Amino acid sequence: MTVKRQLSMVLDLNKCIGCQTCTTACKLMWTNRNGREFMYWNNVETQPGKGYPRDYQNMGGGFDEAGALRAGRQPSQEDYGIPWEYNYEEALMTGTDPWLRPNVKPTWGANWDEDQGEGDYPNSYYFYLPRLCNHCANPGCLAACSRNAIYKRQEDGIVLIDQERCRGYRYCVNACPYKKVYFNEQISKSEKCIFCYPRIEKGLPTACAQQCVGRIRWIGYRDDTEGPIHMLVEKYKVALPLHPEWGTQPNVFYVPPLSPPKYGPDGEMLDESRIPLEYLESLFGDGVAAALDTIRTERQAKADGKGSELMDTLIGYNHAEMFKLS
Amino acid sequence: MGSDDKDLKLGSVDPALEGRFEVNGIKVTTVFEQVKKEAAKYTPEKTQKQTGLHPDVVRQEARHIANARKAIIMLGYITSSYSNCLYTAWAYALTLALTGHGGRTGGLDTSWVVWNHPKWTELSTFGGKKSARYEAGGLGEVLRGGMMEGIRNHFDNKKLKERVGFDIDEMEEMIQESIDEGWMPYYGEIKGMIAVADNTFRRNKMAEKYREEHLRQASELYVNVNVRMDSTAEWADYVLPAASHYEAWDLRTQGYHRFCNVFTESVPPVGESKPDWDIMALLTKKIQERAIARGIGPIQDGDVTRDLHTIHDDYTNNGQLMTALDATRYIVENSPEFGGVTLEDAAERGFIVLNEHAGTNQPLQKDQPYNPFTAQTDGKKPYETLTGRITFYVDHPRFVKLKSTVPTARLYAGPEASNYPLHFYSPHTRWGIHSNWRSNKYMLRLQRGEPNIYINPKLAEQRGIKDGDRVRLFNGNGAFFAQAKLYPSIPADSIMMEHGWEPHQYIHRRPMNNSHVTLLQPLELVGGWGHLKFIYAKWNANQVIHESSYDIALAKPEEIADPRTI
Repeated sequence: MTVKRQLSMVLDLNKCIGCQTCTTACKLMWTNRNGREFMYWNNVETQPGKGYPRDYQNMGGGFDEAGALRAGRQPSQEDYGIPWEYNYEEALMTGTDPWLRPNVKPTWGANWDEDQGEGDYPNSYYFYLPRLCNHCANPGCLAACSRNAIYKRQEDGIVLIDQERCRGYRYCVNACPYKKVYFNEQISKSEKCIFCYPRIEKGLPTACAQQCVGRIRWIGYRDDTEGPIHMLVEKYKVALPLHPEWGTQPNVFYVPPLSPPKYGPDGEMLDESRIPLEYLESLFGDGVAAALDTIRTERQAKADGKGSELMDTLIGYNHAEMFKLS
Repeated sequence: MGSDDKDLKLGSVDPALEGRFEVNGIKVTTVFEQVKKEAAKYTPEKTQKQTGLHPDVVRQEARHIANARKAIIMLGYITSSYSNCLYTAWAYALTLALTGHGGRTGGLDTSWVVWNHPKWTELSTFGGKKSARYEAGGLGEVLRGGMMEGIRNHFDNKKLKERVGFDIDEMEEMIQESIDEGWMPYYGEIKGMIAVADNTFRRNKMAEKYREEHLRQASELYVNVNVRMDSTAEWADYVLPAASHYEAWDLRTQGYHRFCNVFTESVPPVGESKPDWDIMALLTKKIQERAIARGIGPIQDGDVTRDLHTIHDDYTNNGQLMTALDATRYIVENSPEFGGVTLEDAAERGFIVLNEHAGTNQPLQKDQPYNPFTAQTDGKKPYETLTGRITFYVDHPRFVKLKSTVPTARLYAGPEASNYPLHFYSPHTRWGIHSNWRSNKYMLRLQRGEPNIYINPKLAEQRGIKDGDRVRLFNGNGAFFAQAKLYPSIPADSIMMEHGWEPHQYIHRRPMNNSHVTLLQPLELVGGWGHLKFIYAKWNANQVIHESSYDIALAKPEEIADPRTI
């Protein structure tokens, strides 16, 4: 879908510490009320893992090789995790409950399999994958909406749901393979990440990017050849889309994670990465090996004092250079 | 090697590092010879069995440090949570010294503790005129909290001695000796408590015993100043509601960076809550009023007097510092390390960049790293030690007794010193500081919603435990219950649990800390030997809090049942 300009985000997974500050910034700004309590427009999941909502990677959606919508399903409330409440008053003030606890027995949540990953000590491995709406160039949600309620803004490519037109049919929820459209039962309408457009319009980055303590997020326009997105995605090709095979052409890109070497049976270091390359390729496609090589080479150059334009960008010295919003 | 420069200005003197000599008929050798001899006992091949680290990995790491242009080892609190911390830290110092890392080429860095803030200190200590009593924190907590009982319940005396070189009886004797000799101050029981900014009944080990002891000793009055109903506020006679973050003027700095964050009163305090400073101003006002009315004059306390009849005047600098805003302005506008910035400018910018006066050991230079100890390596200023140098030989009688006169190695206590087979790690929570935000629902929804432990899948399988099951963790001091979460990144003989959970979040309100045991390291309690004497935040014993161990089983339904089970 052609737009005049496209805003885009790059996230460096080597720098994400899984602190959930982005999740919380988004939650408190947009989704802690009015039927959105279960939604995480931005979530951080541990991979390998089931992700959020649970097992979303196997729920279908997106496009097949011929460009037709693939069937998808809507996650259950349990897949999202029940937003349990607490008996603060009864446990701490009136003393009528014996201890502080959730009002439902927790059996699943948005970050339930945090830090689990794969492998076993000392060769276990995992990393954090922060996810938001990809504001795709070919959005599955938009293609599936029979009400024409979903649109891409011409000026920045942000994908929005027109709340006046939406009738809550939920085709968009099923069609998004990333499961980043949510159905609000309280108002019978679908809702999703709006890329903090009221902030963007004031020249401010999204809340998730502004608050990120690891400084892992860059925001800019795809066509800005002087900007960070162009450098990371086009020039050095170190930032890759998640599941490009799903056919939606995401505008959110990830720098894949390097990992330490594996240990042998006697504790010796082996010449083999802890995170298998094939696994990373199953997420980010064929460009992973080249991207990791580039990062390794540039890191070494920086360490050797030779300087590296790429590393200077990835370090993220100041917000003004990380967020190019004009 | 890090540097070829000679650090010592010795002129033509070339001191012997090695060799054996006879001086006045006495056979002597050098410290370096002794250090070498001791270190030779611990080759990477020999330590592999204990550490699990392959010799190649150890050598690679050593060469990595040696080859680095600059290498800093930062000694944090985790190491000091083990009884062998002193040995580890001394070995760090030795590693860095042998590889030429000091000053501009690195070194052992403990500078993260604090920057130099003279005006802050002036207010908190009343200009040093009536200094508060200080104690070694761990010593006071263990003795006053009745923790020795729990130590005896948990550890096997014989096994402990084999592991760490002393048993509980010897530890107790050495603690008493340190008090009797005046090496470490200990002031005995408390009579009352006004507690601020410390969730002490959550934090301390042998929690229930500790709490009972404190409430018994302070049965007349236990006051807690708090922003929320935490596990300490719950037990106080009075809770004074405090203004929270963003509701009060405040300043925060810490040694990891060179900025002071300025907190403004963005919103007014909720309800009747007030900033800590204002609460204390009001409390001291009343205390002074009553002291004068009752004719209570100066009370001699060692070298100083406690003056309840002037306590408000003293606290507020004769009425000039009545509020948090007054105190913040005073510090900002009078502190040399803030360079004369006005409070308005500092608040507008949100932070103040500290200048050269902030350096504790040497000036903090603009646009240069704050390297540890350059005053000593470049400026040739003596270290604050007995010899004026980094010291690798201590002949304090206790160091001699525990065969620790030169850097050496000891095992930590761990499960092997008890009858409970699982190591137990209790790191900080991922997104909180201790118990701050630990019971916040938005944060809880991003974990398991209730206290959980982390267990290796192999161990879980052996014990018939599945992910999400409720389990019982137990040792010689009791048990607690938590949800099991599978975590392959921990060894199969270990359990991990984030430490900040409030006691009131556990089933039956029975927290980890009831059974979590602690120790003291007698070497950290020595005094009377040069720099080894009680100095606040420099030489004082902490609780050794990662030495506890547990066993684990699936919880039985009747153990975790309650009448209103959800």
